[in-house]
Amino acid sequence: MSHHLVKRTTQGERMFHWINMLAFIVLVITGLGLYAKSFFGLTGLFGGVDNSRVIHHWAGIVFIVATVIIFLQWFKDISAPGEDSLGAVIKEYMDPSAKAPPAGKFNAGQKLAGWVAIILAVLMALTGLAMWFPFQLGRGLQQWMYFLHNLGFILFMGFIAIHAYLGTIGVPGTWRAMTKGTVTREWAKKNHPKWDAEEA
Amino acid sequence: MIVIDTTRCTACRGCQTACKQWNSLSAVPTECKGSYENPPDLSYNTYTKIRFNEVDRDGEIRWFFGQHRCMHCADAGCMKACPVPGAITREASGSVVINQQLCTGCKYCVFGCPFDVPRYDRSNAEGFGEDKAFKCTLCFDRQGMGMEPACTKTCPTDALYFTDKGKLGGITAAAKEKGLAVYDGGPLRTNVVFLLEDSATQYGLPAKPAIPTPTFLWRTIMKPVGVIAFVAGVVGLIAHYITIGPKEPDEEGGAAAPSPSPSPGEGGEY
Ligand code: HEM
Ligand code: SF4
Ligand code: SF4
Repeated sequence: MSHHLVKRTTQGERMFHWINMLAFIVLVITGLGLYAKSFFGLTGLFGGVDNSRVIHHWAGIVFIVATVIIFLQWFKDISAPGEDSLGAVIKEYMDPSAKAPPAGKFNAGQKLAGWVAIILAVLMALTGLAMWFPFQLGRGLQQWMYFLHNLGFILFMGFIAIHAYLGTIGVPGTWRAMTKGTVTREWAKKNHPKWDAEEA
Repeated sequence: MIVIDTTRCTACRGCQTACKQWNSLSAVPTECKGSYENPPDLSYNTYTKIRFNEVDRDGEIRWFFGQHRCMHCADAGCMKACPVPGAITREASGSVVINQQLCTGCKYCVFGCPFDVPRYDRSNAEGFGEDKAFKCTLCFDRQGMGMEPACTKTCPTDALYFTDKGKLGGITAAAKEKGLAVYDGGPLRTNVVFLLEDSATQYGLPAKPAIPTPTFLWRTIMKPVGVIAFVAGVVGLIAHYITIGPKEPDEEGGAAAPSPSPSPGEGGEY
């Protein structure tokens, strides 16, 4: 293959993204075990509900630390102004043959996703901490923490479904940025024309 | 079910003692807070407590005696909140009972209860292990042996008495005749019913008992909504993949079409 590859992610970025992903998966499974009685069987995967809960707590710590590190790594990129718009990005996903908006390293959708991820992660960490140590806030506020952790969970699952889809089969060629750290020139040209031009 | 006629209560606290005796609960050091009310609060080893409320009524002192204990709600917030199947059960007698063998100590029930009843203890020394929640069982074990609860059995003035549901109509009618208010938890339909001389709050009871709003939203609304929304979302993504299709890089120079089954592992060879 004659295509040259473009470096997309650093080793550090990939490492923390993997840590983050694995912690998230553990959090979802151990959390789901408590989400509804019909999912309670999932706690068996982690050696019963008592262990499952302890694992959830510590995976939560790993998760929030990794998320904050990723946020810092990409803070500049997700804050940078772009020439594309969210509307144009969505239009392209709805019609892949449409002319690509002039996206930089991250397109408008990815920048939004970055902010959504950090906000939801902080929400989960704060409400999760309150659920871990529940006698600090008073009854009224504490009751809302359960609701908010649950709401955040539902929003996060929606986010992660879209994120995982676009990172794998939805935009072929993206996943290798997570494994090899590179993408093809064609991928860059299609998805991030402005970034591609800058890198070239 | 239990009826508590507050007009007959002398606050002797016999019920507190009988409860501890039957359930083998240890004593709790008393605290002087300027009232006879003691021990200081419900706890893993105190399932019921008489509340003393002194009120100044036009220069005259009135003493309202209420009881803080599990109300054994037909619509129980603790059960709604609890994530562990079987950790809180409803017995045939109507009792709502925590099974400490199954309880994982998450404390959801502590905050789901409209009456602030379940108490959590990290390291009680009474044979249950760590991290368990505790509360009144309405003596479901005694009821199973054909006995009434320890508190009603011991009450010397019959302020607390055990009766069956069928008799409740007559009891509440008679109480209303005497000008007493009947407090049955409203929508919660508690199996412990108070007959009150004054407003519920004077007895430490919520004026409008209900499952806490956040608990209701969390357990009754969000739980199904979340599952439905997630399934709908995944179906939407699959539909996107099938109808609109993935966003492939543009083919250049009429090269062979990319692999029709893009694998998430490699991103294809373009
Ligand atoms: C970031 C740090 C986090 C902390 C400290 C945390 C902590 C907790 C705690 C303490 C509980 C209560 C149950 C127990 O005591 O084990 C809980 C429940 C739960 N957590 Fe987390 N969590 C975190 C993140 C997450 C994330 C990222 C997810 C999933 C996206 C999640 C999903 C859940 C779910 C589904 C429940 C069950 C309660 C419900 O029905 O809402 N948590 N979490
Ligand atoms: S009073 Fe509280 S602990 Fe008792 S059954 Fe009702 S919700 Fe549960
Ligand atoms: S503390 Fe125990 S009884 Fe209470 S909600 Fe959690 S598992 Fe259920």
